[in-house]
Amino acid sequence: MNSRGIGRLAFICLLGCTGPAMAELSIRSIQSASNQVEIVGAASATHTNLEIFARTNLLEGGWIPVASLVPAGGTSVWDSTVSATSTFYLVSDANLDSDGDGLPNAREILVLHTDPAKADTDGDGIGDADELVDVVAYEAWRGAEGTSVAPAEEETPGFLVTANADGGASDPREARLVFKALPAGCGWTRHIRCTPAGKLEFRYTNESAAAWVPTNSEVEIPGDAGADFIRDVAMYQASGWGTNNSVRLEYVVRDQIGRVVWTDAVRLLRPVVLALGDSMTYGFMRASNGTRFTPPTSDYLGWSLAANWSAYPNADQWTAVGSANMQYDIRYQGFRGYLNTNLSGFYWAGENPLGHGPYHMGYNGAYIGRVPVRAPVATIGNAPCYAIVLFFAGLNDAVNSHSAATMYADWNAAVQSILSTRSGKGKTLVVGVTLPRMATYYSGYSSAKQAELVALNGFIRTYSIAAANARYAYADIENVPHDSISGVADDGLHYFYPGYGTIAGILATAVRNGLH
Amino acid sequence: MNRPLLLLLLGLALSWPSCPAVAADAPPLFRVARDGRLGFVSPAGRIVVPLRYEGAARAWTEGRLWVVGSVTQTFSGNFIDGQGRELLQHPAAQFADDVLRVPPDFWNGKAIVEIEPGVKASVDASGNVMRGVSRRDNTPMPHAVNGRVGFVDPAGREILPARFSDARPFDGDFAPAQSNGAWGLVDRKGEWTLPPEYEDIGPFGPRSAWVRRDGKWGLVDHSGKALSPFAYGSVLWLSPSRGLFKARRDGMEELLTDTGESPLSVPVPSIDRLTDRSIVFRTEDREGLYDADLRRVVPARHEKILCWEGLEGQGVAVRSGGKWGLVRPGGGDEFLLPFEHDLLQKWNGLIEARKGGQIALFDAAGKARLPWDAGATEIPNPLLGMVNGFGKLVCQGKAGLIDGEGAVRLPCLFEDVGIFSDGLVPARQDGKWGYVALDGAWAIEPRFDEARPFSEGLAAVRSGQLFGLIDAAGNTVVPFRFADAGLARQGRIPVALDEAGSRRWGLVDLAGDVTLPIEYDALEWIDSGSAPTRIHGTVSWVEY
Repeated sequence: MNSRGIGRLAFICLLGCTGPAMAELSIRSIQSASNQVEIVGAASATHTNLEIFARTNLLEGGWIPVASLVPAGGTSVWDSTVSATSTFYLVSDANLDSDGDGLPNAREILVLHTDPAKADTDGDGIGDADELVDVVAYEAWRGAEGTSVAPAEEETPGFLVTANADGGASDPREARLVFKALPAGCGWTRHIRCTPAGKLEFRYTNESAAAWVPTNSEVEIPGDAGADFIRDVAMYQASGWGTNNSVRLEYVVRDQIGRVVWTDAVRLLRPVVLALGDSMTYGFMRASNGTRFTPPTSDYLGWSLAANWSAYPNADQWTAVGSANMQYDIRYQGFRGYLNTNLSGFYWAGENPLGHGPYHMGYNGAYIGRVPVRAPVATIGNAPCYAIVLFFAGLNDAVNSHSAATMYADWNAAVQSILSTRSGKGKTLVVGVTLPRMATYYSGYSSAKQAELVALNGFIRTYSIAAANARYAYADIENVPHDSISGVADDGLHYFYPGYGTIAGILATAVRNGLH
Repeated sequence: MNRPLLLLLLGLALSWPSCPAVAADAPPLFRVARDGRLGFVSPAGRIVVPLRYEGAARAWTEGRLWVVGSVTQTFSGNFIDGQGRELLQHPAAQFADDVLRVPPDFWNGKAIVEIEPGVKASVDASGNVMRGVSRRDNTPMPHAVNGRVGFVDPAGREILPARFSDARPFDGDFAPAQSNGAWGLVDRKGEWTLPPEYEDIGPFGPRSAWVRRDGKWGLVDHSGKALSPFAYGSVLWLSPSRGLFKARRDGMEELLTDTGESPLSVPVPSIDRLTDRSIVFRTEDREGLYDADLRRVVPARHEKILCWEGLEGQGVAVRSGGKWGLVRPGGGDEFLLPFEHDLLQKWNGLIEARKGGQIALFDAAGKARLPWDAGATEIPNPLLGMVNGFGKLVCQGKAGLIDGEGAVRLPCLFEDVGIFSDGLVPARQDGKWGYVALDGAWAIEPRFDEARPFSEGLAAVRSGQLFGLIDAAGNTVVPFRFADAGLARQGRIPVALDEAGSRRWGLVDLAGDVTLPIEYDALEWIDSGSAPTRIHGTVSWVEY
């Protein structure tokens, strides 16, 4: 059995320095019993954070930490997963991290073979520590953990999913995680902790079916630890979980005897959509002759109550909430409506078992400045999530002759108010929606109003947000043509189903662009 | 009109300009109200309409204002003109948009009201009622008769007989119409210009139309000649004024002109119009820019691109590596501002740059107008925060003034500043307000608890709880006896007194003599030369 002890100064020499003798830090004796190895360290009391590393093959390298917090001059005993033919290092100041990358020097030199003097050894823009757990592409947002957002993460759009992650319909709920392979032959195991457990589905890449749902607080990652573990993950179990829209995911590495040798954590944020606005936001329909088709009672001109959307609860749902008078109560207007048709995979803020309520959509006659006051913006400030705010307001201001400057000031103040609500609660994507042009036959039309509307749209297109953890995208619906079906035109302000369907598609595209 | 507190404060800050001239678009009359009843006074403060109405629209349109005699009686509405005369012989109801609560307003000399339950009518500027006229333009509209569709004019008169199976409104000289289940385009005479051979018609213009055949969209000219393949799943206007469309197929978007040209060499995931002259295109995760001539001026290698109306062709803001920089369109890798900014955005024709809480202003060529070393941490909103050409600038906790060109006009020497007018600006030092000239010298030493801008030679200032009026030499002209005071206009100044727990408003002249009794809950007065009016006091009427 070979044995070797090095002290702190000797360790530093590994970095290219020189120093005095290392006599005071050594391994005094090693005893091997049936399946245990006993090492007696010899270090003065001035040395702290002692760790012992071992390896079985000098040619292959691959040191592994086998004992932490070794008492100076004391004895450490561990089981036989360390071969009796190992070579040992005793290292003091084992928590020393010269480059501040989160990885102690000893582990960088002996285990990971990264440069302890460079936080990003390979210069790829991803820190050495982050390369151990590599959350590819999406969110690794740590704000809710009380730590800063890593620069690389600021560049990423977040946890949410790119379009067509399943190879078919877009699924906004997924992210792709890559848990990097462990060093070959180290004998460690990889584990995942989810808090809360049972809320995260692991799927094979580009598949929508759940392959694995860890339900215990910690589970071992299956398969070969020497290979990357790549899975799409999704959160969608909505029932009874409306206020808890994030999962803390930890990547835990354990050594041969089960001790934690490395962890990293991210908080995965669930996307939650909140649409704010007015009658346009939930799909109010009215013909140019004044006939209203909202609330809808039956199919109309190709629009299907069953197949398309319900801007209002149906009769049974009204009955369930109690009073028919609620149909005229503004608090019960504005079910999620048509917007859901192209964003069906998203979780909608305020969704409730009855499938209706005031919590996601606008109300008739809403002015820009009133939307954050009357609309339930607070629902996206309750707990960490990735909030997607569709801000679709302004038509009422425009048709009531507000100037573009006034509308823009109100619009900006409203967005800032929303962002204030979101402070400390995760990432936010604000999708500003330009206003559709009024048809000239609209009863409230004037060219002056139209000019102000178009000018406001210019602001919405070029709006920008400097706030941390917030992004901005816009959906341009200015030129969506108004509808006319079987000789009946829409009112020139609101749409029928074809127009709303087009708008829904544009908003969905904007959401996905914004998430990139 | 409801606005967030921030805007309310902003509005208040804007309400004290110096411009004494009557604004060209100022309303003919101002409102006064007491106990929920509304009357009108002239801009000089003369009562024109005594307290009579319970509601009114907020805005005058074409010199007319919708007023309501009783909010509980539907048919009690009327229009008044600038002399306070009612236009309608018989009061009417609001119709313009009852869902959005849009009050009737005039456009092109016409307003729409409801004259009887369910009966709309147009009203001309003289108050003449035209029955059956219910729309605001002359666009012929489709109208169904016995299952067939024709076109009617705004008065409901037949323009084209109902011989189509379906039709849509005219856009310009053409309208889509359907015959035997197939769509085409008809002209205003009802003749087919594009024969009905298609499953559907999408966006169309004077030169071409998008039509659907076998489930796919293609572009044809008015003779039916194909200008693009029938290969697209959907198509939308990108810019009607420039004849640009975006068409989508296989999950990708293409840019097409109304002659079928395709300036983008390859389809991209997404195309949008950033300004009317700038088109942004996105690849998987990068953005690029096309200019008005459909030339690619910024390649798709940036995370985000911004450009603004009026600055096209000069500088384009792009974000790369999480930081914003300014590049010259078509300038290759040349950048005008380095990629080191947290944000770039338009500011009054300039570009505002933010970096680590500091603000600088640059022109579109990247030349500094307000340099970093000015230490600016706050600049005014270019739309609403500039009055008389100046706005408040804050540098490291001290306030000064900046002009619209980004130049510091009053150094940041004061705790706070107000609105510049008549050559003076209110400024605060050691908690007290006075007035300084643009050279920073005190014209009126700081001794007031509040100071408002000069107008017509007077400014309202507060000492303790009471307002008085001073001249430009700091002499008291009207003694300190009011609870509030506003801006002088045509020799009249709105003032308020608190009586029995209520604040009442009226008008005084420049000598302080009351010309309109101080007994109103609210008084509307002008904000500034071109800005809207402001309500002093509490609105007790119903605003439509």
